[in-house]
Amino acid sequence: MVHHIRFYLSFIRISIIKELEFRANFLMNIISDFSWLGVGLFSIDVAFSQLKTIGGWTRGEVQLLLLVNMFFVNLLWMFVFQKMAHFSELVRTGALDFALTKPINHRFLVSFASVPDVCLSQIIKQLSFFLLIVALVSLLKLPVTLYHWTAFFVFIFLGFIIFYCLSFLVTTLNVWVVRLDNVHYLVDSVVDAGKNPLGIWRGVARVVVWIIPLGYTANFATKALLSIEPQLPTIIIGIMLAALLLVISEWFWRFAIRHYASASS
Amino acid sequence: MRYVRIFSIYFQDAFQYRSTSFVWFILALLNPLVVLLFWRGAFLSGGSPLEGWTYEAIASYYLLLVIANTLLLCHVENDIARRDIQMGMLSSYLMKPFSYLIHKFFSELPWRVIQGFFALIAILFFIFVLKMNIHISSNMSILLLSILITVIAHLVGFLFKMILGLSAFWVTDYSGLQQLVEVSLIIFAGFVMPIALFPDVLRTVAFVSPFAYMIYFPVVAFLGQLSFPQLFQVIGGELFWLAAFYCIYRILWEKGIKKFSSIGQ
Repeated sequence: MVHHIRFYLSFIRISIIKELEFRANFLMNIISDFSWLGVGLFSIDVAFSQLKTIGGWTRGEVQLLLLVNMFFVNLLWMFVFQKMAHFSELVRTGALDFALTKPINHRFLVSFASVPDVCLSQIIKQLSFFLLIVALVSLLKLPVTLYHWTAFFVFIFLGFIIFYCLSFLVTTLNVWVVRLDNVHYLVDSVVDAGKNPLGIWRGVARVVVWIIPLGYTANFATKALLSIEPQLPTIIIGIMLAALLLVISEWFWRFAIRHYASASS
Repeated sequence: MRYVRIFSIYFQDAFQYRSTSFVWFILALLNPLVVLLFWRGAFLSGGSPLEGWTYEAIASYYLLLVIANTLLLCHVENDIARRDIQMGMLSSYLMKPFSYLIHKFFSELPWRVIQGFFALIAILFFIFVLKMNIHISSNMSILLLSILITVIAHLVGFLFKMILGLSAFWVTDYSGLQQLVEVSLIIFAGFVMPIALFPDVLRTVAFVSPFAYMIYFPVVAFLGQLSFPQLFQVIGGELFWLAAFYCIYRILWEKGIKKFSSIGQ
């Protein structure tokens, strides 16, 4: 485990050095990400100019939900999505052969360490989103205790595992389907949908929430801060779901690797 | 005739990667639908959150946005920046007896056709299976002018993305610039909400920017929300941006090609 962590930290160090070479790009990345936040807040502002609640949530609560979702999405971009995009390239060019011969867990290698991309801009964004969450919690005068923050981070962690596994499952399809290099954007879009209160999913759309555990993106974590409902049953279901998805994705990965036939596949 | 052949070859290429196309289409479908779902939740929470718009009108707007997104919005910039300029594949185009611009246009068109076809099926599904109404203009003259606006919008969007791709002649890592353009497009092309609902300052910025001409105006033209003078005004604006982007493209191409070098054995 220590070996894996040291290995990963060295990738982060290389990534930061690389990013500081392109400072203009770094600045534009920061501006664009905060613009997304501006877009989200603007939509909320327009909707709440005529309404008091949406899906049972007030303006401040939906703003907090948006921030938590951005915190969560950025976490996935830092550690998961870009690696998933790179996996398609590994299969298409046959470079996966080299990854499979390395003396390290192959799933770990292709999932987290095949390409250095934990950028300084992403670390800055992550810290900024967290500080904004803390500021909004204080502004809304929410009675948040250590218990609520612990539940918040547990939900973020469970969501991370669940959506990492879902991303990994769909990305593994690259072994059979050539150039499916955009499939991680699909998971990104689904996760992004989590910035809306679960209450807006009604009728046929409600089925989606049952199939994809959208609550684990940001809704449950935000509810933990808002102390809306007891968290323990949702945490237990989340742990079971995360464990199940870890097992399924591992089985599917092994099954895919058995069918991998290098660049000619 | 040779352009038909180029189109035909690239159509076969794009068709081979139809799963990639399908994922892009799902993405184009998913994002407006999630925004629509948010507005639906807002409408169901009581009152009208979007002044002057009924739920049917806003649903028609977002469904047409799906078609416009798949049919009009090109994605040539990544190929140009990463594959052609940064990896040196541009040299192979320089040997060919037709312009790079024409070549790129016909290589991109099949992707739009395939994704547009997927979008059409999805829209028919929404109309006939989910019984959703799309309110488009029944006036034949408006429809003909709307088709003209749509064709020019595609050309404007294509030239804009070509220019964005050519920026890689000068910028080593252009992902920040691409992100910034993407977020501007999302706001000013009307993906978040119809531009008519923006505050005055933002609306003025949107209407003078080229982004509204790429997506927003074709959509509202088909919805019959523009009068005849406004339709001609939009065509004039589109022609202005088309001429401006073509001039910028020529200048960037002439200057960039002098900087370009590629090596091999």
